[in-house]
Amino acid sequence: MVSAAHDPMDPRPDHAHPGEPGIRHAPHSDAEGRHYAEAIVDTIREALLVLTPDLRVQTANARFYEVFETRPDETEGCLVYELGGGQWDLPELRRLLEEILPQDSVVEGYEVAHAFEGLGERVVRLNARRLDHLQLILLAIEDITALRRAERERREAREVLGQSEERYRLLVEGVREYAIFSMDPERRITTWNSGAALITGYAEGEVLGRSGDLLFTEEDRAAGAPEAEAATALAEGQAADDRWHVRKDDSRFWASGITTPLRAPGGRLRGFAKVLRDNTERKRAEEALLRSRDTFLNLIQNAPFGVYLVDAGFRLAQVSAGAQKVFSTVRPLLGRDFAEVLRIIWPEPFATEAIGRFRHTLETGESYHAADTTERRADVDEVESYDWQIERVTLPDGQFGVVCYFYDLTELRRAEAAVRRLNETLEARVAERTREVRALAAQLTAAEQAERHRLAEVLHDDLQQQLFGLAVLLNLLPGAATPEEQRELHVRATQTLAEATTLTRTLATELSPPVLTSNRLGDLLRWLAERKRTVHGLDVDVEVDEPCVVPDPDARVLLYRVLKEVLFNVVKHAGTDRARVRAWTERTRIVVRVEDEGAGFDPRALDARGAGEDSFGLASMRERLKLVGGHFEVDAAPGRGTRVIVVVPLGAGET
Amino acid sequence: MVYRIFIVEDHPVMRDAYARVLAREADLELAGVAASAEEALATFDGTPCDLVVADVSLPGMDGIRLVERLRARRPGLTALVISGYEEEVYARRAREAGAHAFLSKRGLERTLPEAIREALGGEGSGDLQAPPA
Repeated sequence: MVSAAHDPMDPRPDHAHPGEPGIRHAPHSDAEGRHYAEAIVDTIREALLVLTPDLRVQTANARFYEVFETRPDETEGCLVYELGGGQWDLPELRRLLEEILPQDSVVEGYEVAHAFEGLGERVVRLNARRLDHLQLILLAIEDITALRRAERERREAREVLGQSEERYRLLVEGVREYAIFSMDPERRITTWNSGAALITGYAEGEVLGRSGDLLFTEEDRAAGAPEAEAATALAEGQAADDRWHVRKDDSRFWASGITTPLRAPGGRLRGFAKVLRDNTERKRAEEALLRSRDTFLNLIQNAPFGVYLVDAGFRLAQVSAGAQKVFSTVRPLLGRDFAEVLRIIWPEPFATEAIGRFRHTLETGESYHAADTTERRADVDEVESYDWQIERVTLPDGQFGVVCYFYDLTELRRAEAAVRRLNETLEARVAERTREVRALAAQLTAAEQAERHRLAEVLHDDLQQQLFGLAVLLNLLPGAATPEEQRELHVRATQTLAEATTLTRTLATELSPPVLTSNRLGDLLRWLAERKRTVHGLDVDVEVDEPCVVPDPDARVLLYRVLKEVLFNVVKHAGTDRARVRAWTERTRIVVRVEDEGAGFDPRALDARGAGEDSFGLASMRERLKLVGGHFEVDAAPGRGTRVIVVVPLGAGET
Repeated sequence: MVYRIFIVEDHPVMRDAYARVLAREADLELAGVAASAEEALATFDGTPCDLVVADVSLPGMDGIRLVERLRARRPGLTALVISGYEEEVYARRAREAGAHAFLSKRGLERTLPEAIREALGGEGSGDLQAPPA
C-alpha cells in the first residue's frame, strides 16, 4: 500500500516509513533516483562521497568540498585513493572498501587517523554502505578530530583528576591537625581522617555510619545544636562551629570548625563536610588571658589606691573605683583626651606640667614619682594632696600606655592638720590643767599651812596658856597663906588641867578622827552628825543604804573633809539648824547627798568663795574630787534650799 | 608705895594667874585688865596705872603694837611684853617698841614681880607719871 504520505518531494527518508531506511524506497527511475540522492547527499552535514563499485568518485557533496578544500573536477571520476594527491590511499581505507565492505553491506564507525597534508592530524570516522541495487557505494566521512581530542582531553583530565583526588584523599587523610570528615544528609559519618581520629579518639571503623552528633556535648545535643548547625550550613552555605565537643573518653575539647553542605552537580544534597580544629589550648589560653585580664582590671578596679590608665593615643582608658572621685566632674570620662581631662581638674601651670610628665613617660618609659603634690582644684573649691606615680606599661592591645597610681593624701593632710590643732588645744588644755593643779596645790599647801597655823594657834593660844596658868597655880600652891587659899588653888589647878586634857583630846580628834579607821561610811556620817550637833548645834539626819563601804582610807579622808565642809557651809550660810544626809553605793562609786531647806545660794558664787575661813573651800573640794575621778554637784537657788551631791569612785584612792 | 599694874591678856586662865601673882605682892596692885588690845586702848585712859603688862599674842592687834600705841599716847609709859614664845625676834621687836623688858610666861610668878619692880625702880622710872597719892 502506497499512502498519500509517499510524497516524492519529501526529502525526509524516515517520514513516511519510520524505522526503515528511506533510501531503499528510492524513486522509480534511475535519473530521478540519482537526482533525489544527490539532493539528499548535498543536505547532509557530513562529507559524503558516492563511489562507483570500482571505487571511483561519482560525486561528492558540498560538505566534502568544503572540508577537504577541493573541487568537483579534481574529485569526480577519480579513484578514491587518488583524492587529495593520493592522501586517501590509506591502508585502513583500502581495507574498509576492499575487504570489509564487500562482505558487510554496511560499515559504520570505521575510524581512520591520518596526518593530512595542509589539514594536519585528523581523525575521520567512516560510514560506508553498499547500495547494490544502484551499483553505488556511499562513503560518509566525518571529521571527529575535535571530538576525539575532547575525548582524549577529558580522559586525560579524568586521569589527572583521579590522581588529584587521590592526592587530595591522601592530603586529607594525612592532615593530623584537623579533623576532617564527611556525613550523609542524615549526618551519618561517611569519611573520617586521621586528624579526626587523633583529635576525637574514635578510630575510623568506630564511627563510620554513626551520627556525627556524637561529637556534640549532651547539652548541645539537647539544645538541638547539630540540627541547627546543619540547617545553617544548608541555608547559608556554611556554618561556623565553635563549641565544646566531646571525645571518645568523654573529655571535652574546644573545636573551631566549619560545616559545609556537599552537593551533587545537580544540586542534590549529598551530605556535609566538617572540618574541626582542636583549639582547646588556645581556648584555655584565651580564657586564662581573659581571666588574667579580668584579674588585672579587677585589681585596678578594687585597688585601695587610685589607678588609671592612659592609652597610646593619650586617652583615659581605664579608671579604678578608687580613682573615680578625682574625676567626678569630668563627664564623659573614658576615652576622653587626657590633656583635656587634666586641664579640667587642675589649674595652670600644674595641668601643663602634669601633661608633660605623662607624655614624657609615654614616650621614654621613664617613670615619675611625686611624693606630695598639693594643689587647689580648678573644678571644685578644694585643696587636695596626692602621692602619685606614673609608669609606662604595655596595655592588652600591645601598645604602650601610662598607668598612674596615686594615694589621696588630702584626708591625711587634713587629719594631720586636725591633729596639730588638737595638739595645740591639748597643750593649751594641759597648760590650763597644769595651772589649775598648781593653783590647787598652792591652795592645798596654803590650806595645810592654815591648818597648821590654826593648830599652832590652838596649841599656843589655848593649851599653852592653860599649861602656863597651871604652872603658875602649882607654883603658887606652896606659898598659900591659908589652907583655904591652898584648897582654892588646887581646885583651880585641877580644873585647868581638865580643860587642857579636853583640849588636847579635841585637837587630836580634829587632826584625825578615830572614826576614819572604820570603812563603813555610816559610822563616819553619824560621827560627823554628832560633832555638828554638839559643836554647831546643827541637827543632821543621817540615812545610809547599807552596805556602804569605803575601803580606801584616802577616799574616806576626802569624803570626811568634803562632807565636813559641806555641813559647815550649812551652818554658816543656810540659816537653818537641820540638814539631811543620805548615802548609797552605786555600782563602783559612793554617792552622798546633803540637803537642807535653808536660804540656799547662787551656786555661781561658790567658785568665787575660795579656800580660807577655817579649812578648804568648796571650790578646792571640787578640784580634789575631780583629781580622783569624783565630782561635786550643787543644786541651789536663793530661798529654795541647797542640795549637794558628792560622788567618789570606790577606786578613788588608787589614782 | 604700891604700883598699879594694867594687864592685857586674852586667855582667862592666864588673866587669873596674873591676878593671883600680883595679889601675893604687897607693893603691886592690879589696876585693870583687858582681853584684847582694842579693849586696852578703850579703857587705858580711864584706868590709872604705873605699868602695862601686855601679852604678845592677842586677837587682832598684838601686844607689841599695843605697847607702841600706848606709849605714843602716854610717852614714858613703862611696859613689859610677855609671851609664851621665847624667840629673840619678839624680844627685839618689844624693845624697839619701847617696852622695858620682854618676859617669858615660864615661871612668871617669880620673874614678873621682879621685872615690874626693876622696871619701875630703874632708869625709866623718872618718866613715870606720879602715882596718885
